[in-house]
Formats: sequence, C-alpha cells, structure tokens
Amino acid sequence: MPDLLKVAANSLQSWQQALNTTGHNIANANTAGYSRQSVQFETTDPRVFGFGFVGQGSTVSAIERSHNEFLSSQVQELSSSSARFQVFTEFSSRVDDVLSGSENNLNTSLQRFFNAVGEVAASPGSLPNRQVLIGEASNLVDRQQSYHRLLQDLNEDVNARIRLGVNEINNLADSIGAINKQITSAIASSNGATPNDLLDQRDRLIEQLSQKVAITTVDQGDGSVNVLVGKGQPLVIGAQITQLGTRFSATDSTRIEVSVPSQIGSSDSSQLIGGGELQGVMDFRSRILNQALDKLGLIALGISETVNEQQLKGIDLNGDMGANIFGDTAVSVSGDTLNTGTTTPTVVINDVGQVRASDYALAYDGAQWQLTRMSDNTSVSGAGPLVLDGLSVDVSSGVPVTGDNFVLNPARTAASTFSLALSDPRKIAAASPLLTNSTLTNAGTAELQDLVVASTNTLPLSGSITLSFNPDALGAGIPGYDVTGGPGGTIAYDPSTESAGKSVSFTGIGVNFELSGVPHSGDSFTIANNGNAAGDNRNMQSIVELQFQAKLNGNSDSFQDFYGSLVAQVGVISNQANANLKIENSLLQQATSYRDNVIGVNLDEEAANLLRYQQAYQASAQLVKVADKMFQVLINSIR
Amino acid sequence: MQSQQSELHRTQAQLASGKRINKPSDDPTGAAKVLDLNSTIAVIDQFSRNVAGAESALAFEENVIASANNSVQRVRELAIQGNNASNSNSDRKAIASEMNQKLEELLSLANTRDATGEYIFGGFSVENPPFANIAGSIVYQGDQGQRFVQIGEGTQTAVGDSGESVFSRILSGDGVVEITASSGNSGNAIVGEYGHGSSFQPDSYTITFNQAAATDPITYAITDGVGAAVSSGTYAEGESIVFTGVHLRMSGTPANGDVVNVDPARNSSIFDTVKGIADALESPVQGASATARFHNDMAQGLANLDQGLDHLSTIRAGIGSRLNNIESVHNINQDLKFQLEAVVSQTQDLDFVEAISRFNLQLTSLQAAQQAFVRTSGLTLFQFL
Repeated sequence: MPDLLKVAANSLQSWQQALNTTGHNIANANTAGYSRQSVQFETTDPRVFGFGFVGQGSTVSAIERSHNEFLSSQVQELSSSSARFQVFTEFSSRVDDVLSGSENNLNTSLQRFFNAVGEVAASPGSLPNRQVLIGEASNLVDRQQSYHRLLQDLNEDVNARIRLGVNEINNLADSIGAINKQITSAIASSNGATPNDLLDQRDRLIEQLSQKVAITTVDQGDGSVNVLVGKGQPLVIGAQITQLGTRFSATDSTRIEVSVPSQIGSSDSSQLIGGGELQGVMDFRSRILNQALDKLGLIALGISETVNEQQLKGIDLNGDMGANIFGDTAVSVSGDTLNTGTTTPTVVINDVGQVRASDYALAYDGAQWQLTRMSDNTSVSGAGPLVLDGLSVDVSSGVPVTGDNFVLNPARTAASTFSLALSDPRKIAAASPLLTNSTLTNAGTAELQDLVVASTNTLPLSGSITLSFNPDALGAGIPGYDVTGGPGGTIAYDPSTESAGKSVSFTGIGVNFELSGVPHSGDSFTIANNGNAAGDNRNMQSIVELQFQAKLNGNSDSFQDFYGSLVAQVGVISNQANANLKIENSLLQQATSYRDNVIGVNLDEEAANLLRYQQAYQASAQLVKVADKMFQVLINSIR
Repeated sequence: MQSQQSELHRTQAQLASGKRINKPSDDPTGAAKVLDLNSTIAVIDQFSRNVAGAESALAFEENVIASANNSVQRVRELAIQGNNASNSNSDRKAIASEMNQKLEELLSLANTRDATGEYIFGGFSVENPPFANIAGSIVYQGDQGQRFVQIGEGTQTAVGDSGESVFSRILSGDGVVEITASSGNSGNAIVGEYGHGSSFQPDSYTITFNQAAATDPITYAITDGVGAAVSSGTYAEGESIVFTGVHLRMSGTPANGDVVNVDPARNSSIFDTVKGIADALESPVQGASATARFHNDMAQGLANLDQGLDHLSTIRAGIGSRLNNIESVHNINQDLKFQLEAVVSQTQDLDFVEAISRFNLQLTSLQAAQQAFVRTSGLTLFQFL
C-alpha cells in the first residue's frame, strides 16, 4: 500500500509538473524568443522481488526546451543580411530621392546654365542675357552646394548610425556576458539541468546582436556561449566582454570607423567587421555616398576649371581680359594622424579632364613617394612632383618619414567650395581678344583663318602684327610671310604646295591660326587687339561647346553624361539592394517560420496536452483513492 | 500583407504622378535615359531659339541689302542717262545731285541698326556706325568679324556679314581685269568692251599708242609690270587688241603717247564707285579729249556698278541659302525632338490601363489576405473546450 501511495504521489507530482509546464507554455505563447518546453518523464527504479521487478511509477527527469541549433543559426545569419540590406536601402533611397527630383536636379541646372551661355552667344551685347547667365551660374552653384550639404548630412547620419550601432553591440554584448555567467552558475548549482528561460533570453539577445553585425557563436560546453564578430574578433568570451569603439578615420576626419581596442594601436577594424546594420551603413558610405560626393564634386570641379579657363581667354564688354566666373575649388588633402614627417603635399590640377572621381593615396616608403589611384591601384612613384591623372603633387616641402601617408581627393569637397566669383554682367568675356584683318587691297585668294588664343600670357598685344607675303621671304625663291610686330621674323609658306592650309603657331605668343590660298606679293594680314567688340561672341561659342565636349573622367564624358551615369549607378545599386532585401526578407520569414514551427508554442497542442495531463492527474488521484480504499478494507477487516 | 501594401503604395504613387519612373531605382537605365533625352531636348530648344534669332537677323539683313540693291539699280539708270552724249553740263549736274542723294541713302542703309540698336554691318564692332564719311570719302570703321550661332548638333550658321564684305569687297572691272584709259590722254579714244580668258596672267600691263606722224598708222606696244615687251600691233578702231588672254576694243582715235592700263581687278567699295560717277557727272566737260575722259570714267563706273549689283545679288543668294539651310536644320531638329519626346514618354510615362488593372488586382489580393487572416486567427482548440 505505501508503495502504491508512493507511486500515486510521484505520479501526481509528475503530472502537476507537466500541467505547470503546459501552463507556462500557454502563458508564453506570444513571448518573443520563447521556445516550447516539454516535460520528460522516466520510470523510477523498480523494486526487486523474488519473482521479478516491480515498477515504482514515474518521476520528472528533465524539462527540455525544443531547440534546433541549425535553424537558429540560419535565422541569425539571415537576420544579419536582411538588416544589412534594410539599412542600406533606407539610406540609398534618400540619395535616390535627392538625385531624381525631375524638375530641379543638377542636370536641369547644368542645362539652364548652358542655355543661358547660348543666349549670350546669340546676342553678346545684351546686358539682360548676361544678367540671366550670372543668375543661372549662381543657381548652379546653389544646387551643387545644396546637394553637397544633403550628402554631408547623410554622412553625419552614417556616423551617428555607426556610433549607435557600436553602442548597441556593446550593450548587447554586456547582457550576453551577464547571462552567460548566470547560466553557468545555474547549471552548476542545479546539477546539470538547463535554465531554459535564460537560454531563450540569450538566444534572443544573440539574434538581436546578429541584426547589428554578423556574428559566429561557439558553445563553450559549460553552458556559456562565445560570440565572435566579423572575421573572428572576440566580442564575448564567457563573461568577458571586448568592447568595440568608434573613432574618426586617420585619413578622413569626416568619417567614423569602428575600432577594436585589443588590437595594436586601436587599429581600424572596419574591414574586419561585416554583416548586419553596421555593414549596411558602411556599404552605403563606400558604394553610394562617397561616389555621389566625388562625382558631384568632379562635375563642380570640371565646370569651374573649364569655364574659367575659357573665360580667361576672352575679353569682356569693357575690353578687359576675362576673369574667373567661378571661385577656385580646393583639393582635399588629409594626412594620416600617425604621420611623423613634416611634408605638406600641395596639389595642382593641370588637366581636369584626366581627374577621376576617386581617392588618391600618397605614401612614402623611405626612398620615394608613391601616388596611387585607389579605384584601380594605378600608381606612379618617384621623388616628386608626382604626376597622375592631370594632377601634379609637389612633396618638396618638409622632411618625410617612412610610412607617412596622405589621402588626396580632388573632387570630394569641390562641390562645397564651388562658388560664384563674378557679379558684374559686363565682365562676362564673350569676345575673343584678337581680331584678324585681311587687307582690302589683297589681290590673291589667301586667307588667314581659325585664329585660336592658346595662351593669354602676352595679351593684350603691345601692337598689331602684320604678315605680308613675300615670294623671297626666306631667301631668293623661297616664299613666305614677313612678320612685323609680335614675334617678328618670317613664316615659310609655299602657295604651290600649301594652299590647302597650313597651321601656324607663333612662338612666344599663344596664338594659332591657319594660312591658306594663293597670295600675291605684298598681300597682307593683320592680327590686332579686339578693341570694340560688343558684337563678338567667339569666346562664348567656345563655352557653349563645353556642354557637348567630353571634359570629365579621362575626357570620356560630358558634364551631363557624367551626372547621368551617377544617377544610373545609384539607381542600379539601390535597385539591386531593394531586390536583395526582398529576397533576404522572404528567406528570413521562411527560416523564422520553420524555426517557430519547431520551437514555438502551438495552442492546439497545448490544449490537447492540458486535457491529457488533467486526465492523467485525475487517474493518479484515483490511484490514491484506491490505495486508501485498500487500506480501509485492511483496517476494517482487523477491527 | 506588408509587401502587398507597399506594392499597392507604389502603384498608387505611379497613378498619382502619371509616371512609371518616380525615382532612379524604379528603373535605373530608364531614368538615366530620360535624363539624357531631356537634356538633348533642352539643347534642341536652345537651337530653336537660335534659329528664330538667326532667321530674323538674316531676313532683316536681306531686306536691307534688297533696298541697297534698288538704290544701286537707280544709280545705274542715272549713270546710263548721264552718259548720254546729248546731255548738257547742267543736265549732268542735276543727275549728279540725285546720285549724291542715292549715295546718302546707301550710306544710311549700310549703317542700319537692328531692334536692339546694334549696327548690323559692323562685324563685331556693333556699337559704332561702320561707315563714316571722312574727308569726302566713305571709310569702313568696323572689323571683319562675323558672328556665328549654333543651330544644330555641329552646325553653325553666320547671322550676318561684315559691312566690308558686303559693300567694300567688290572686284572692279570684269572681276578679274580692269582696263582704264589714262587720265592724261590727249586723244579721244574710249575703252569699249573688254574681257579676259583663262590664260590671263595677273600683272599690270601698259598699252602705249604711237603715231610718229599724222599720216603714219597708229601702232601700239604692250609692256608688262617690269617693262618687258609683251606684244605689239597696229591700231584699228573697232578691232580687238588681244594679248595673254586679254581682249579689248576701243573706239575713237588715240593720240601719240596715249596710255591704256590693264590691271588685275582690285577691291573697290560701292560708295567709291557711286561717288566716282557722281564726280564725273558734276565736273563740266569741254572738248573732245575731256569728253572721251568723261565717257571713259563713266564706262569704268558702270562696269564697277554692274560688279556691285552682281556682288549684292551674290550676298543675297548667300543669305537665302543660309536661310534654307537653317530651315532644313530646324526641321531635322524638330523631327528629332518629336521622336525624342515620344521615347521619353514611352520610357517614363505610365500605361494607365495596365496600372489601373494592376492596382485593382493588388487591392483584391490584399483584401483576400486580410480576410484569410481574420478567419484563421480565430481558429483554436480552446474554443471547443
């Protein structure tokens, strides 16, 4: 009888435990990260009788949580990549929006600027047209600057997001470490039983962490889990936390990087950390933000350099040589904060058409300097000045130390320093500074054409230059033009062989022209300063031409083409990211629902269990009653 | 349900804007294409404005040149009238005064200003009158500049001509050679019609007439610029003198030592020509040699006037062909623009029929998903316990 009572009591206890667990499951049916628990029973040790073993009922052996390591880590991984694309598209759609404004994008501003140039070319004497051009130039500057500000704001947001992300990672790491500690001590004190709810909590924290950054987890065996970020950098080892830090990049003070204090010199571990929101933000910065800043900057640089260059070759309504329309833009040069040398590199842009929208690295290896275009690692080296992509870098100042390095970016800040330098409409140099004149008495068919001002160093001319044809200019029978004024001397020209046209450039005076036709002896041409030329639009026509010429990116793109390629590039990347996000999200949903099917609470199942356990409990209670009755029968029979 | 909702919002945005592409990521290649096409269209619009400006400038210039042509035509009539031997000195003076009026008229035409107040024949120098009367002769003050505007991809057109090229660069004589009787001649010979062949060697030739005694035949000797003998012969009135590609006929009788000059044509201005004729008409004519000199001057002036008329016609024809060219380039531009606009519309505009049916489909499936959720979320075993 006592045996039966003991069996019944054990059984009652077991079923009660089972009911408790079912209740726990039902209560947590909607708790995030909760995994279903189930009670495991085992038979108690049987008693030995002469005839055999008699069962002694059951006890609860363990309360297990339904858990699948594989499914969990799949959800982890997919959370990482989904969060990465989520953040990326969130940011990239903002740039997308900025570039696309159909009515007032940069393309429209460029177009309006060149249209205004065209109007001045059509009637160079008109002050209203010139005023409109100044206005459109100012509009172009404003548009560039506002783009730059918007992108700069995005850069601030990126920095803030990285700081926030690193903070969150550190907090999560702290919590995981603390739970690790609790779990190990719980396991130790409970003789190996698993603290299911703590494990669930930790799993949930790990999943949250995986959204911030890609992680790998390693089970320690004592219940604690080690968390490694990126390519094996330890974040949580048992209860030990290695906090990540943030700092400004050594070569770009506008850029926040992730740093790992344990590594020597707190090195930049941005490359070591991948996946998750952190990767998404950094991807955005390198693939879209910096590209957009550089390309917009290059357009600003190109416009200001080429338009100014042409403007300087003309003369304005006052008859003076032209002055810059746009202010000079600055090349950003930043030295590594760890540099110990005293060199201050200075950068001069010789040919803006060759400059690329890329960072350029400048490094000293102890013997010579090396300048590298970062986008494809093309490099030049030497003692300087180093010439690459139309840039000339002078490194002669100061004394370098091995390992010194700099990052140059000709375009990065160009849009912010892009400015308008001209406000007087009369100072737009629509006219060309020189006039040619073919003398009225010329009897031959000779012409002097296509006069181009290549350099303005010697302009205005101190006096007019006259070319007069002389059949014996270079000695008897050797025809040519005698030149008076300017460089003087003679120009060989043989009408019998060169009447189709001969290009001439004056040495010392930056003027090129073409001679053609058959002159008679004494026929002459003059080249003189253009004194009164309100009707001259030749220089403006050259500025009109700039719109159609490939003046950017290795002289392969026009300004507007280049902007178009930026829009397409951002569009394609955003589009891809959107598509990836959709795929990753649906994979994540699938994986999550697989996992939830395995670990989640199914209320129907719990309802069935409730009935089952209740019935079993009632049956066990009946057992007590039977034992009691048996006992009563026995007592009564004795009484 | 969430993804369906965002798709629905996208369709809604498309319907609201009427555009298929609302940001570059909707269709990156399409967006870049639209950007490119729109800037090409804006460039074509700029060309169209240039075309309109060029057309009005050229039409205006043509009008002015047509008026100048009329004036020169009238001068020619007057000159022919004045050249008539029956005129008295006073008749000629009267004709000369009308001719001087025509000269003023021509001068004011050459100094025409356009609607913006710019002188149209000044070259690049548009702020000052291009022709000025300096000490009795009309001198060009402008430059040889010619303004071009762009009217099409790689096509520029000149929107004017310098005054010098219109009024001053007129080759004298027959355009290649000019033959004039020396003003010191004492005979009554008049240079008649003359011309040149392809074998003409440009040089300044001199024909000198010789008659040792009144009964001797009149001979002539021709020398070139450096005095070398080229040809010689006996003069007969009405017979052509021919040498190195030049032929001329003379009437009247040259005196011993009379000289006729054969020179390559030179540039002379229409003003100088008209003024020369007016001056010849104005000065009184007395005696046979003076009459001959007068007729020689008039013949020279008439030859130059004809050259001037030819020249103005050539300039007008040039303007006309420029206008034609502008028109055809403009038509090509407009055709291109319509094509480009069609492509832009195809690329970025929304197919409303498709979008609306898509919208309805998305709406229906969203509603279906919502109803399915409501139905299934109520199902649990606990309801039956």
